[in-house]
Amino acid sequence: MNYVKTVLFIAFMSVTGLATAQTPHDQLTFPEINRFVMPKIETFTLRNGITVFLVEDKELPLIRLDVLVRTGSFLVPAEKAGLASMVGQVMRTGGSVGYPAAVLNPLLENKAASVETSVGFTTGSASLNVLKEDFEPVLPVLIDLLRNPLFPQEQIDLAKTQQRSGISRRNDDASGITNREFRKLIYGANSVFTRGTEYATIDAITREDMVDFHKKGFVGRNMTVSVIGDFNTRDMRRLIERAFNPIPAGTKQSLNLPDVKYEFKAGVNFIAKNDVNQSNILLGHIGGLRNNPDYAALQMMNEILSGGSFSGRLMQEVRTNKGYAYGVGGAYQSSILNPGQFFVSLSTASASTADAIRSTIGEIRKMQDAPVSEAEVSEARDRILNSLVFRYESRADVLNERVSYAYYGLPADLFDRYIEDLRKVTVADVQRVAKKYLRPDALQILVVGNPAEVGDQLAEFGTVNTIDITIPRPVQARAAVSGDADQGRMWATRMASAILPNGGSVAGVSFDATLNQGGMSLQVATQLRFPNAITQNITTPGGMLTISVADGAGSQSMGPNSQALPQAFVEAIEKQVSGHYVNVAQTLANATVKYLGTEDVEGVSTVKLLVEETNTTWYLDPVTALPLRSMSKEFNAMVGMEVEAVNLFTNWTMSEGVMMAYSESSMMNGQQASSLTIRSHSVE
Amino acid sequence: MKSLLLAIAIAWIPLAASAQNLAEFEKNVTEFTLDNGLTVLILKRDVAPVASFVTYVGVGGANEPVGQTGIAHIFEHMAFKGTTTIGTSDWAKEKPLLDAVNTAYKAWLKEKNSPMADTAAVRRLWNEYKSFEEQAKAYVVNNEFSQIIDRAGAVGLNAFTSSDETGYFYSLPQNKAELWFTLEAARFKDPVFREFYVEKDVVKEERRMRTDSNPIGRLIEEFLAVAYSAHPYKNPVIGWPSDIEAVTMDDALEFYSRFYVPSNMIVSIAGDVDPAKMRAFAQTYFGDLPKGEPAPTLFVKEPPQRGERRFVIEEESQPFFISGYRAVEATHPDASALEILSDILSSGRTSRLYKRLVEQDKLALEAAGFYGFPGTKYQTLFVAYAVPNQGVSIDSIETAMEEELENVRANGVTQEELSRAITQRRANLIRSLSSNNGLALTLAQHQGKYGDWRALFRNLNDMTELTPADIQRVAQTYLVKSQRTVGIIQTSEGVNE
Repeated sequence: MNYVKTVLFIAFMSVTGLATAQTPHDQLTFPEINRFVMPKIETFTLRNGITVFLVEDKELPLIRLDVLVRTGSFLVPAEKAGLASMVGQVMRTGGSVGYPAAVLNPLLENKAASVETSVGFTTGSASLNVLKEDFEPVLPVLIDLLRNPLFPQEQIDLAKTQQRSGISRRNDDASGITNREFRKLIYGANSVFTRGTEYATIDAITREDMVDFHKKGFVGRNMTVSVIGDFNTRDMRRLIERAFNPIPAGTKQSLNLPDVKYEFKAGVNFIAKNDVNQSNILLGHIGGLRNNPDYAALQMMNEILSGGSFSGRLMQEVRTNKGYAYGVGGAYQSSILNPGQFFVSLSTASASTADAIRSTIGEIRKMQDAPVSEAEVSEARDRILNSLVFRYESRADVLNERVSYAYYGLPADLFDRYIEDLRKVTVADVQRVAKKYLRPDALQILVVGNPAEVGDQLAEFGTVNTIDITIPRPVQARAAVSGDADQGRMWATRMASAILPNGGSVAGVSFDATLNQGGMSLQVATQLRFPNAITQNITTPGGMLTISVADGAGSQSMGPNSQALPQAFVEAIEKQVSGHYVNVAQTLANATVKYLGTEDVEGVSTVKLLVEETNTTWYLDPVTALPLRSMSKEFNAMVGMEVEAVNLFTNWTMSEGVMMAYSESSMMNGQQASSLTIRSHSVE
Repeated sequence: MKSLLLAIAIAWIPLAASAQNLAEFEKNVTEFTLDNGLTVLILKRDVAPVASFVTYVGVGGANEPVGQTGIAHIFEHMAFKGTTTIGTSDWAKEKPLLDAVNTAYKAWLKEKNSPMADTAAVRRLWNEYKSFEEQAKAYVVNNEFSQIIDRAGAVGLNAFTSSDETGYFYSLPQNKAELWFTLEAARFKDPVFREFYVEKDVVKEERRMRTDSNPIGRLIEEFLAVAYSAHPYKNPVIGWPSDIEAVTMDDALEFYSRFYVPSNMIVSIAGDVDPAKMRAFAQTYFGDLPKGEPAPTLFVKEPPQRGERRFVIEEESQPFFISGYRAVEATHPDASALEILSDILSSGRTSRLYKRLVEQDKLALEAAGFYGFPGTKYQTLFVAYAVPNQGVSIDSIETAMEEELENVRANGVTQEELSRAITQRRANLIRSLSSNNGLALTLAQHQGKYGDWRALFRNLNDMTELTPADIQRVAQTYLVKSQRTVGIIQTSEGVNE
C-alpha cells in the first residue's frame, strides 16, 4: 500500500511540478533529436536497360509504383505544341489493346486502384497506386498501357476539344497570364521553354505523331522504375523482372536542351485586363544553373530576400510594413538543365502599382548596396539547417531523391556538399553574389492590370511596351481557289464604280438607321471613318449608348459610365468597318481578286468575286455590279470558333456620290443575326 | 445473380477493414480534456523525427456579428502579430500608442461614414491616425513571432479560416515540441493587435486577389449571397469590403474573447512525440487558459426556399455553370448518402457526370457534384457545377446535367456504383493516414464537427450500411429544382455594327 501511495505521490508531484514550469521561448532547451532510420534501397538494372529501385514501407497496406520516362515536350516541334501532354493523357484515357477504356476504368475504380500517365517538359511518368492485395492483378494493366496503348481517335478528339477549351480560357486568369508572358520575356516567345499550345498546333497533331512519340519515348533505356510500400523485396524483385523485361530496350533519348541566349535589357511591359482591380506583377531577369560554385551563397541570398514564412525582407517590407500585397516572393533560381529565372512576384491594388514596384526594386538594390547583417545570415542559416530534418519525412522521400538524382545524373553527395558550403557563407559572400548576379538596372517588369485604374503609373520605369495577348486564330488551311484573275479584275472594277460612281476616295460615311437585333428595334446613328474607326449612338430604353473605336482602342458609354471594350471586340469591330462595302469599293484596285463563276442567289444568277485578302466572296448583280450578298468565314475570338457570316443587300440608294444598301440583313452560321434599315446617309 | 453476389462481397471488405483500421489506429491516439475544457489529441507516428501541431477553433465566418464579416479571418491574421513580450521592443511604450491608433482610426471611420462627411476633417483624422501608426511602428519587432518559429526549423507555418472553423498549424523537428506549446499558448492567452489597420490592407489585397480580380471568385460570392437569405453562410469568409474597413481592434478583441475559449478549441499533434510528455506540456502551458463562458451558439435557421433562384453575370471570361441544392448539415443522418451520391456523380472516369458531359457529349472540360458548400456545420448546399468546353452553350450543359440528376431520381443507382464509391472512400482514408499535418488537422476537424475524432472511421462504417434506395431517396428529397440556386457566367456578346 505504501509503495503504491509513494508512486502515486511521485507521479502527482511530477505532473504538478511540470504544471508550474512555463518556460518562455528564449529560455527553452531541447532534448537530442531522434534519428531517422534510412531505409535500405534495393537497386538493379534489367536487361532492357530499365533501372529499378525498391523500398519496403510497411506503415500502410499500400503499394505505389512509379515509372519515370526520359521524354518530354521539349522534344516536340513548335508547330505540334501540345503533342506530349496529349500523349500522356490519351495513353491512359484511351486504354490499351488488352484493356480498352470501357474495361479499364471500372476494373481499376472497383478496386480503388489508380493508374495514371502524363508527360511534362522533361519527364514522362506512369504510376500505379493500389491496396497491396491488388498489386499483382493490376500490374499487367500498367504494363499493357506502357506497351500497347490504343490511342483511339475518339479519345484523341476529346483531348483536342479539351486542349482547345484550355486555350480559349487561358486569358481568364490574371496570374496565369503573368507567369506565361513573363517566361516569354525571359526565354523568348518562340523558345522551347515557352512555346505553348495554339489552335493551330492542336489541329496539326495527328494520331501518327502520338503513336510515334510514344514509341520512341516509352522504351526500356528511358525508364526508371521505383516501388515503395508493403511488400517483401525479394518477391517484388521477381514480379518487376517478369513484368518489365518484355518491354523493348529502344534508344536512350538525351535531355539536352538548347542554350538560352539572354540579353540583359530593362523593359516595362503591360498587359491590359479590364476585369481586375489588382495588378499582377512579375519582375526579374534570367537566372542560373545548379552547377554554379556560388549556389550556396545564392540560396542564402534568396533566403534573406524572401525566405521563411514572413522572415524575408520582401515580405517584411512589401507586405507587413506597407500592406501593399498579400503575397510577395521571389528567388534567383539555379536549375539543373537550363538557366532558371530571377524573379519577384506580387499583386497589389491598381492604385499602388508603382509604389509596390518601387518598393520591391528598392529591396533588390539594397541586397547589392549594403551588406546584410550578421544576424540575418545566422538566422537564415538556422532556418535552413534546423529544417533539414524535413528533407526526409518518409521513406518515400529518400526514394524520390535517389531516383531524381539518378535521372538527372547528379552526384549522390550534391546536397551534403551544398550544406557544407552553406555553413561557410558569409555576409560578404551574400553581397558579392547579389552584385554579381542581380541586375536591378536591367529588370524586365511585367504588369497585368486594369488600364483605366493603373493609368500612367508605369511611365516612371521607362517606355511602356504593351503586349497583345489576343488568342491567335487557327491558320485556315485554305485550298488554293482556282479562278479567273482577268475576269476577276474586270468585275472588281465594275463593282467599285457601281458603289462609287464618281470614283475617288471616301474618308467616311454617316447614316441613320433602325437596327433590329435580338427582338429589339433600336435607333442608331453611325459614323464610319475608314479604314477602321466608328462612332455609334444607339438609343436604348435605358438611354443613349455610345460605342466608339478609334486608334486600336474602344469604349462604350452610357451617361456618366464608360467602360473599355475588350481587345477582341475592338478587333472584330475594326474588321467590320474595314470590310464595309464602301471601303471595299475604294480599295478593290489593290486587292487580289478572282472570278469564281456564277451562282443563284434568291433567284438571281450572280457573279461570284473572291477577295483573297479578306477571304470574302461578293455575289454581284450581273446587270448593276452591286453586291446582293457577301459571305466570309472567319475565326471569331469571342465564341472561339469559325463562323460563317453572310450579308444580304437590297434597296441600293445613292446620296452624295455613294451607293448604300438601305436594307442589310446579317446571318451567322445560317441564323438571322440582325437587320439594318437605313433612312439617310451622307459622306464625310 | 452472380454480379449481385460479387457486389455484396466488395461491399463487405470496407466494413471489415475500416473497423480494423480504427482499432489499430486508436492504439496510437491519446485523448484528454483539461479542466478548462480544452481537448487535446495526440497521435504517435514515428516514421521520421518530426511532428505537426494544430490548434483548431470552432469558429468561422458563420459566427460573425452583423457588419463585421471577415473578422474571423482578420483575427487569424492578427494571431501572427505576437504578444506583450514577443514582437515588441518596449511594451510599456507601445501599449498607449496602440490605444491612440485605435481611437484615431475610429474617429476617422466615424467621420468618413457620417452622412455629411467633411472632406477636410476626414483627411485630417486620417493623417492623425497615420501619425500614431507610424509612432507605434517604432516599437514593433517585425514578424518576431513567425521568425522565432522559422528559425527553429519549422515548415508549413500557416493558418486558414472557413465558414465553420479556424485552424493554425506548422511542423517542427520532434524535439522542439515545447517551443510550440509555449508560443501557441502565448498567442492565444496574450494576443496583441499590433499593426492591426495595416494588416487590413493586406486582407484587402487578399480579397482583390481571390474575389474581385477572379471571375470564379466573383461568381461564388454572388452565388452564396443569392442562395442564402438569413443564414450567415451567405457572407464571404474574406468579408464584404466595407466590413473589412469598419472592423476595429475593439471588435476583434470582443470576437476573440467570445470564441477563443478552451471549450471551443482543440489541440492536435501528430508525429514522433511522447504522448505522456505532450500531456504534461498541455497541462503546463494551456492549463491556465481561463475557462470563460462557452462560445455563443448560432440560432439562425435558414427559412424555407420558395422557388428556384437564378442569376447571370456577364463577364469577359469564358462561361461557367454552378447550381446548389438545399441539403443538410454533416451531422444529419442523410449526409453520408449525399456524400456517396456526389461520388457516384463525379468521382473518377466511371462517374456519371464525367461519362456523360466530359467524355460522351464533350460538353464540359469538367463537371462535378459535391456535398457541403460553403460549410457543413449548418444546413449546407449540394453543389453541381460544370466548366463548358469551347463554344458549348450553358443551356446544353444545364440540360445534360439535369438529365443525369433526373436519371438518379427516377431510376436510382446500381449496387456496383455504390460499392465502388465505398471502396474508394476506404482506400482514400488509408492513403490520408500518411501525413502528419493532414492527420493532425483531420483528427481535430472530426473532433470539432462530430464531437469525436473516431467519426473519421465511423462515417465510413455508416456508409457501408447504405443501399441504392437510400441514394435514390436523398436525390429525390434534396435535388429538387425549387430548392436550388443557379449561377451562370456568360461571356459578354460582341457589339454588332
